[in-house]
Amino acid sequence: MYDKATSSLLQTLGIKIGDYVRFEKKGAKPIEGMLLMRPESGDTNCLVLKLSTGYNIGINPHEGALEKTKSGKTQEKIGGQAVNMAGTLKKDSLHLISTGGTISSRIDYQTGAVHPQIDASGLVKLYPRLEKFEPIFVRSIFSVLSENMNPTHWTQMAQAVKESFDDGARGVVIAHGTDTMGYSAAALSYALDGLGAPVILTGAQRSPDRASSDAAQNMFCSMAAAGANFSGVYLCMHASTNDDINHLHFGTRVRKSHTSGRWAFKSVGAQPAAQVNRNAGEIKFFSELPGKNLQSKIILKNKFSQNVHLAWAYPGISPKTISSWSEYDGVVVAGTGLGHLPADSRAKTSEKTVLSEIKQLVDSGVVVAMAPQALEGRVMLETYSSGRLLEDAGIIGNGADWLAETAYVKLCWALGQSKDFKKACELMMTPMHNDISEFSAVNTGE
Amino acid sequence: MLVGLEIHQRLEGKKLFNRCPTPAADQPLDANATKFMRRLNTSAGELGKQDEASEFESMRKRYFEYVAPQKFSCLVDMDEEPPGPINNVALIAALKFSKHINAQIIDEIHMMRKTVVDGSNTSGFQRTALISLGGVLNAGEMQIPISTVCLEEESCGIVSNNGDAARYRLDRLGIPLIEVSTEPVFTSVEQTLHGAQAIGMSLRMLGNVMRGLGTIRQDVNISTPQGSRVEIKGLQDLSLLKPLIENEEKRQEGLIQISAELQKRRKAVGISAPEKISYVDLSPMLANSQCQIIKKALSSGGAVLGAKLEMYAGLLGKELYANRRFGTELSDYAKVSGGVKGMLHSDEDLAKYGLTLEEIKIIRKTLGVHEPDAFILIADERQSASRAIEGALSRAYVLGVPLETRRADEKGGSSFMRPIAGAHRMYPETDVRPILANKELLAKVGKLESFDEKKKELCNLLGDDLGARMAKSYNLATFQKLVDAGADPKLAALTLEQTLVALRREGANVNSITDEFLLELFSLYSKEKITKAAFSQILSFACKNSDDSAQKICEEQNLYKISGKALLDLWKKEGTDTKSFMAKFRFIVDASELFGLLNIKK
Repeated sequence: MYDKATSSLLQTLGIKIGDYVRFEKKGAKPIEGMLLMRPESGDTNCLVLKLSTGYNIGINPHEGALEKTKSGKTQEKIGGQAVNMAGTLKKDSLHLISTGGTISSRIDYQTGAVHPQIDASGLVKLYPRLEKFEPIFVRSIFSVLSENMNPTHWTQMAQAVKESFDDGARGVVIAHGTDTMGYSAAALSYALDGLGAPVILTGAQRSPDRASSDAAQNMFCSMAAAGANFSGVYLCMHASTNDDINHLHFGTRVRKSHTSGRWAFKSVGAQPAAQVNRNAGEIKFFSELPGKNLQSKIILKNKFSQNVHLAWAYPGISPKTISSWSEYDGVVVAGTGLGHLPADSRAKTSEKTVLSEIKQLVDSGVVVAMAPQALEGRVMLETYSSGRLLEDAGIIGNGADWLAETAYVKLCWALGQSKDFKKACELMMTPMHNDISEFSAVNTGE
Repeated sequence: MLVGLEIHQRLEGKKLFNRCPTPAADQPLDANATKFMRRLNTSAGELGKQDEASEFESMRKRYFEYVAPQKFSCLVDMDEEPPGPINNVALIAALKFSKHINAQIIDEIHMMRKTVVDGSNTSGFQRTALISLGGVLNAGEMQIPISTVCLEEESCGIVSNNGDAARYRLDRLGIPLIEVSTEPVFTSVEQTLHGAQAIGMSLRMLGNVMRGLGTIRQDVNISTPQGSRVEIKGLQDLSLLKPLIENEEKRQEGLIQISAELQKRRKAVGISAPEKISYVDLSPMLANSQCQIIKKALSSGGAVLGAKLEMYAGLLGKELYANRRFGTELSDYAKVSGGVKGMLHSDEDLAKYGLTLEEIKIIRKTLGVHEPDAFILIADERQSASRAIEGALSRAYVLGVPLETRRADEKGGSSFMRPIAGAHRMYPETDVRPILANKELLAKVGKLESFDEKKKELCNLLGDDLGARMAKSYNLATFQKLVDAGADPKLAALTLEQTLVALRREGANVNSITDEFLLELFSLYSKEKITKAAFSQILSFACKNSDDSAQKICEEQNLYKISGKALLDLWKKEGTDTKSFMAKFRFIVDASELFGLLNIKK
């Protein structure tokens, strides 16, 4: 967007975006170029011109003479509408559901930054190798960067997946922003009861407008996985920086462990479920996965509470902070060590303490669940006195080796399924979709 | 003929978009460097159209291996982390040069991505920004009109290359480059050479330019009246400029003659240029051929593909310049398109490849080749061979001089690299905010001394010979540092231009001598701790043990100067005549001090 003075100058001169202009500063050679929209950032006085060499430059039109030389075509908007469909709705198709994020991003001329703009049909055109998996049915259900998602998006995604299978899909791929893709994978794991086929979430750490984008391989491997003979919700992304192998992670067991690397997604407290080769798309399973059954009907359990809090325990956390959680229906605490909050039994009984506030929360009906803030390992509330006191105060989670994010999603889901405190606690502590393992696998730490 | 130049000068210090140090030009490749593997896809440009040059590259199914030395590369270079803020020192250098040539500095600088899909950039693009337009460089009597100054990132260094894979080193990626492009104004080899040198010298005045082979690179664009504009990349040695320009002129003339001849022949028999590309699989009839190339391809499941070139007899063998025929040009396209090793054609002595007369007869018959026609053959893995023959045929049908980017070779020739790159290759680098070249920034940009001014100043200081030499030297920045730190200018110049040069000729690794070491050396001298004569000894040891300080070397090698009472004591003990005494102790005794002491004594 150009500022007021610049916009009115353009208007006076009859210059529109896409027109060719000549600009001449006193004593300098004239510059000719095509007027572009300008990115939001930087000096809004400057016009952005594209020169015939392809370079963009910013010039200050108020410091020289500007004139229009030729009318141009207005730049076509890249991308499509928020909701559209493409391909043929055939039985046994693979379905691609686009939700936004880097994988469907392009340059946005409003901001000069990358924004979700490519629709689902554009994605298949971008990656010709996907032809191998046709027929593919594609649609966009929304177009949001995943940092802007909330539990209502999980509800809609689960609904869309069910619709796909009702329409005869044999597997579903969801193109998703990477920021909170792990949360969505966990949410879908809980929401799609009776799922009998693969649901694969994938994304990109490098946007598809660059030749090095990881989107092509992630999309290819995800399609290969979606067509394969197993079921469940998985996340499929690069296994390493190399463009060769993708990992399939269990939806409840995956965390974005690097801000920018292609290998950002790692299975935590579990091995990846499988790997997919980018050449032929063959899958190597690392453990036995549930088989495929397209006859199986999905029972949607896609209600999520939007009133759950995820808190981080830290040295100096105050009773005041704990009591402020009373506005929530549920709280997951990522505790220190084995699952701790400061809980000193020597405090005077009259004083407000972290422990007393926790007890009060639980007594008032707030579900408080403990998860480890350590990357791996199990919550063990019975080892130290702090843990025992917290457990006595009513914190749940003892014995769970869940990820804090997964515990958060699960609590949103559990409270969406039942407002009853006891029932929600029961759901929380019932292992499902690999979220809580029976015993900790042998690990030498190497 | 008109020649234009694009000079690329590497800057030392930090990389353009991350804080990794820049490696030296001859940095050995660390054996423990991390390795990784990538592929590149193509993507549409900003305007939705794909650039022809990048589409061409993407036809090739290639993968890339990168070797990343820990010390000189990071996640940004790996395309695993977004770029940081621009290296301000490099930006200021580009602005300084722009100011020097009186160019029009862009009000707001926009970083762009230039699509490069040959793997030399992990991201698939090179970051580049236009810094200024226009301007004139005054070089003696010559006024060189400059069209643009850009600031860009250096690409990866190539380690090895074959049809399917290329291996690159990552340390070179991201080194800041100043690119200075001239208008196409040079009309002779001599003028072009003079222009290239003048721009190089002027860039050197910036002080933070890199030295060594490859740190300054000239791309040459040549256009002839009937021909077209051809860009030739990667000329590292200016002495090859003369044959390069002459050969290109001959090549363009030759191609025009070939086109004219072809059109004449076609007209005579009333045929027009072929509308589509067609070729024939000759594998079945050559199954028993003893020709090595064919045998190898067929035994590994490949194919021999052949195509007729109607009315081309004798044209493929026409020499354009030494060791380059029209057939070589077609072969280049085959190699680049299909990654094949080469191409055979009917203007060659095919018997030398092991093809029998009988086989040639069969080939001619199958392809329908008659007296005035020619044919080409490609034997390789089937898909590569089809891509290659399509590439070669599409080139054969182009009349005149195609717009090409070519790669200079070591003999002053060039070979086809890719079609000339267009504007669709560029799209905005959204990870970097536009930079406003406002008064505040421009105030930080100092004045660049002109080469002539500098030379004059140095000649006054050092005498004409040494002054002129110092002005042109890559050691100029080091010289300046030493003098600023209080070193005697003449001694500093002699040390850099004579002592170190002599050591290098003896085979010493003088590149390991850092500016810091030289500063320490001159500081020891000014404190009268060492003699002038010891310089070459100390430097020689430093070449062997690059981590040692000058102080450590002097201690270990007994190279501290002896003076005063200690000198007198030594004289008493060892001195007979001054000549033999000085011969023995020349590194640690200052002759004038000795004579002084002895005179006083007398």
